[in-house]
Amino acid sequence: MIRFLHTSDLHLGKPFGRFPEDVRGRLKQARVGVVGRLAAAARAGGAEAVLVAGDSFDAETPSPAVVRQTLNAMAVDAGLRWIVMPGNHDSLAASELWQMMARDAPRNVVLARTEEPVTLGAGAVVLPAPCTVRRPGRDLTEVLDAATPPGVVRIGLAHGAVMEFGTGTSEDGDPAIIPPDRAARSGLDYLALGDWHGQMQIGPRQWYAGTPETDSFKHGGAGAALMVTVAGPGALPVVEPVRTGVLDWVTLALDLQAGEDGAARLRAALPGVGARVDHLMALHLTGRMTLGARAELARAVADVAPDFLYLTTDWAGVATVHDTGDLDLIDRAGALREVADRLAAEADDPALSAEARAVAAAALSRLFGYATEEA
Amino acid sequence: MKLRSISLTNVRRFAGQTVVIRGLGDGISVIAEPNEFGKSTFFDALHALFFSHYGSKAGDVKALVPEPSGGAVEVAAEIELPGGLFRVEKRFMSRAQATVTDLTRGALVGRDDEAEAWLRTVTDQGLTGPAGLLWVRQGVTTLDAGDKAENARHLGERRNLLSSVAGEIAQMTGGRRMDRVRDHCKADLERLATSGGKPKAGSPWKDARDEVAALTERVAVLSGKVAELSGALERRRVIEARLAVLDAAEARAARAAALAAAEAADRVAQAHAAKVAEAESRVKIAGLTRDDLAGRLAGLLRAYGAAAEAARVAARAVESDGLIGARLEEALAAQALCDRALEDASGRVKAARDAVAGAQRRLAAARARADLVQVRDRLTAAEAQRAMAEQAEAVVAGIAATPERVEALETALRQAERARDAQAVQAVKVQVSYAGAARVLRDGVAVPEGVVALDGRAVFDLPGIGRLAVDPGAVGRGDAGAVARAEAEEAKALAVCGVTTVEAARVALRERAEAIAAGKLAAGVMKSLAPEGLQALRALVAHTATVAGDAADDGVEPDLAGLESAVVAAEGAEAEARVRAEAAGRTVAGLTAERAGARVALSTALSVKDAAETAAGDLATRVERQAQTETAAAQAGAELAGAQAVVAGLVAGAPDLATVRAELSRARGAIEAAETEVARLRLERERLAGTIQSQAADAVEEKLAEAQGALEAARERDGRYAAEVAALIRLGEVIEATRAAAQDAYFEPVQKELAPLLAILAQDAALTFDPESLLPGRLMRNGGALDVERLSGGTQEQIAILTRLAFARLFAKAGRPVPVILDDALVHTDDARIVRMFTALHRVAAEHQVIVFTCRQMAFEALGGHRPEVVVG
Repeated sequence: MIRFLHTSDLHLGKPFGRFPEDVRGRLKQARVGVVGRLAAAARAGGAEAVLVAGDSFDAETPSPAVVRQTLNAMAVDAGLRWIVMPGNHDSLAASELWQMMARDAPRNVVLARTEEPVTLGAGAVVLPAPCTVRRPGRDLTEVLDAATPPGVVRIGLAHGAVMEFGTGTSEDGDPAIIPPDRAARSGLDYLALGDWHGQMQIGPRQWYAGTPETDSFKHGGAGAALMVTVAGPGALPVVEPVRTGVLDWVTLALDLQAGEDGAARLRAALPGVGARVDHLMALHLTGRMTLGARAELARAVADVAPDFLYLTTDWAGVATVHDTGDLDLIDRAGALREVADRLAAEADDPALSAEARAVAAAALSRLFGYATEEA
Repeated sequence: MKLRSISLTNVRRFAGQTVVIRGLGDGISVIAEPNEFGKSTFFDALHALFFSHYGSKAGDVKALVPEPSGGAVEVAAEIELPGGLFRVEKRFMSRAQATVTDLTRGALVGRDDEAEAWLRTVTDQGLTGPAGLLWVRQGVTTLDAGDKAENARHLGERRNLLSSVAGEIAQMTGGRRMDRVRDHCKADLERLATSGGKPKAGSPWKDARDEVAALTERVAVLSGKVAELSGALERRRVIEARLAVLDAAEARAARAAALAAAEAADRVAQAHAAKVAEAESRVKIAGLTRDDLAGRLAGLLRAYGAAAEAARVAARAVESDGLIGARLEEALAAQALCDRALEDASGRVKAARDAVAGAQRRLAAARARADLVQVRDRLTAAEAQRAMAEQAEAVVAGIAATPERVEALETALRQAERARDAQAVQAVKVQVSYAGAARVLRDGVAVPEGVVALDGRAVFDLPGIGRLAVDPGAVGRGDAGAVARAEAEEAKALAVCGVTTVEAARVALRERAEAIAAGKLAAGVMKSLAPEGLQALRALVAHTATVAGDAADDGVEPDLAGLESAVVAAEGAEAEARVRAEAAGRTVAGLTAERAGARVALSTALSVKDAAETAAGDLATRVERQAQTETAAAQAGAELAGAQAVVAGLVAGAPDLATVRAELSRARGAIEAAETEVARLRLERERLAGTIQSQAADAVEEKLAEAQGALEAARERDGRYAAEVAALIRLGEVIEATRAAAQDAYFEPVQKELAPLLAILAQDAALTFDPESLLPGRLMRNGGALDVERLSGGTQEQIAILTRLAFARLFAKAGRPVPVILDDALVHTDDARIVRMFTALHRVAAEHQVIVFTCRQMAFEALGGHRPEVVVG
């Protein structure tokens, strides 16, 4: 029996430049600690090795500090082997990185820079298919057909997008090339895949581990790895997700109807107050809202935002309904009401450009804010 | 809408009571009651009925509760609408409720909120219906009530009245609320943007825009670095791949093997080339031998031929020389004849010419003899003149007194005389006179009579008397030095002139001038006698004498013309003879030259013949020698062909040396190029390593990704601010446009409705409205204008009411007639004006219901109108 922890796409050194400074710090800190958490998860699960299926680093030339700290974290538990393979982000073209890795790697770290099989325990070999360049344009996993001594567990280690799966492209939008039945074709007991940042099973013997620390709202939730147990050659692997991420990336989609209490729905859908500090929230709002309801929801969002590590709201899908009640709140008559009526008409006028309508709608919301504040 | 009755229960002073006003008519209804009756109570209660929610406990509602009894407040009114007669009832505070009943049909229209909703509909939702317009609270008072507190109260009331008007304006234009919204909008816009809509310095939008710019630049810089790094990495990868290929042992072995093979092939090719060269050398030698024999044979044949030809040429030369020699002899004989004829002709010419010359000499001698006497005379005269001239010159030369010298002498003489005169003036003079024979002696010489001037000490011997010494002293002697110097100059000048006296000098000067004149005369005459000089004249005399003596005078004049003709004839014959002689000479010369050429040719031919014979050798062995040479040449040709066949065989089987050399060069070049490339690539790899390590250590990729993310976020922020600014700008635009439209909508119809009402008050009165406050601003009357605030309280009150009535007319024209309720609104208007105001009210009442509460029962009697019944029970 062989047991190992399957992970990939650590993207160490990712800068998260579009986030505010404080959030960026937390995000980086979470990534720095993920190697240690993977080691702890491996030990806790009785794994003898951690297989990293590419993209350990976000860039081809990460800072020396990131590389050194990563290797230091891997060296902490000298009894735990790390088999680290280049992905598309840290392909073999990143010669400086891999030279540095080769020079500084501790003894328990194996750099799978070639197709040479790596022995994993007594009865298993890892067949790596390292990424030679960022976009190889060919199926690198063909090397997984390589022969191995009879009676050993064959574990493939590859990075890239699988054809006829998901969006049909890699995480970075490159064409999918790996056949979906690669494990079967190459007689693999397990194919440890990297590239897709979400955790996903492609077949009985073929998994994407996903990133151990989530780095975007695209694949929400907390990062995780896969604890894989293979009883022996030909046996179906037993795969168990293991949480390794400390931060939750949550996309909350609310489709609202006019007259609906959006603020209440928001409050009901949010996680508990205690967990919010480790949450990055993306509110994706759609539907139709009255000016008042929208203002109320905006106030509610502003009210809860400080609870979260990060909260962003996408209002683009919300169409504002300018009902009489909202306009009455601006003014029941007179010039102020005339202003509101004109802006409401502009916002709903199909003859105007979408941009002009959006400007009018925003102006009306602003008027609503002023007027209700006045009231 | 028209009010028909009002009912209040338990309202203020009507605690526990119900008071009802019935019979409110279509036009004016006047409720004239004394003060404290509760007219304002009706007013406030009606306001609450129409505009306060039945559940309201706001201040205006609470103010209706009677004190101190309290309790629920009930207000009811019957209103007539196009749809019938309705009763509206509200109970406030306790068990609050609202009810609307259709009295025409006896049906409940609605209760509570339904009743409120119906009421809003009736009053046009209280929106466009100018609720405030209907209500004119207690009017303005005069400003000066004599009491400070009263003044303040009246001022407050007036302000209330104007404020109520302002409220109506605000309703239409947005008023102060609109202003505040506009101010908010402007403030928010100014916080972010400039007046031109650009990001404002110090604003978060500008910060975002600046951040975008800075990050864009940073991204560009980092992108450049990343590109450089990527390029370096890629280049290093290519280099390493290339080095791997070049450095591979197999590649090196292949290059070495190729070189070894090329070198071996080169050695073989070179050995073969040596054999070919040797064979070619043999061919060359054989060829030379053959050519030599062929040459010799040819030479032999040429020598034989040349000897024969030379013999022929020599024979022709001998023959030619003989012929030319014979012709030359003939020519020489002919030339001798011609020469003799010429000599004869020339002798005849000479004789003729001699005859002419002799005749000419005789003629010349005759002429010379004739001239000789005259020429000799002229010479004699000329020489005489010359002697005279020379004599004059001698005289002149002998006289030293030239005009200049005599002039100098004259000057010295004058100066000496002046010196002597000066001395004489001072000198001591002694007058000597004798009476007898005895004489005074001075220095042994008798002193003549007369005056003796003494120029120094003088001693006179006076015979018989003794000696007299006279010493004139220093003064008496005068300037003896000057006299001496002048006299010395005088003596010197005399000496120069060669005379002792000036007179002599003058004579000599005259003589000199005369001598010069005589010399000039003699010279002139001589010049005329011998213009070319005496020497020439003497030569002429001698020549003439010679010519004259050349020929004796035989007394016969020669025939010169005949002689000269003979000369001409002789010369012609001579010329002809000379032509012939010259022709003969030329013939001789030509033949002589020809003979010389023939002789040379003959000599040459003989020399050539001798040489050819020598070259051809012994005539007896010539055939044999030719045969031997021909045999040897044939053998040499055969040997050459054999050697050439050997070379051809070797060349045919030889490797291409150039190809072999090229292959060797290529093999060596490949190794050299590979080594050079390896060295170059290693050097470049080292250089790239420096770049890569530098950039990688700087984590430029991470920085770029971070900067790109930050740029994206900054752009989003910039976009949000831009959208916000666009919204604020649009909001501001709409506000301004709406305000402008509202003002236009307000002023124009209000003015239109107000004009006839103001005309009732004053024929030429007109109001202008302040565009900012939207209130009546100035009253124009009698050609002047006054601010409304500066008008009397009564006038302000009248303007306020008229403006309100104008509004009422506007609503009536809009099909929404509303009651106008006046609560002691004309308390400050004088009797004259109040009548006019009544007229104005009546004008409006034609279309409106006007309800007037007043305590001025007498004054309002003139108003007319209905007098509704007020029942308190």
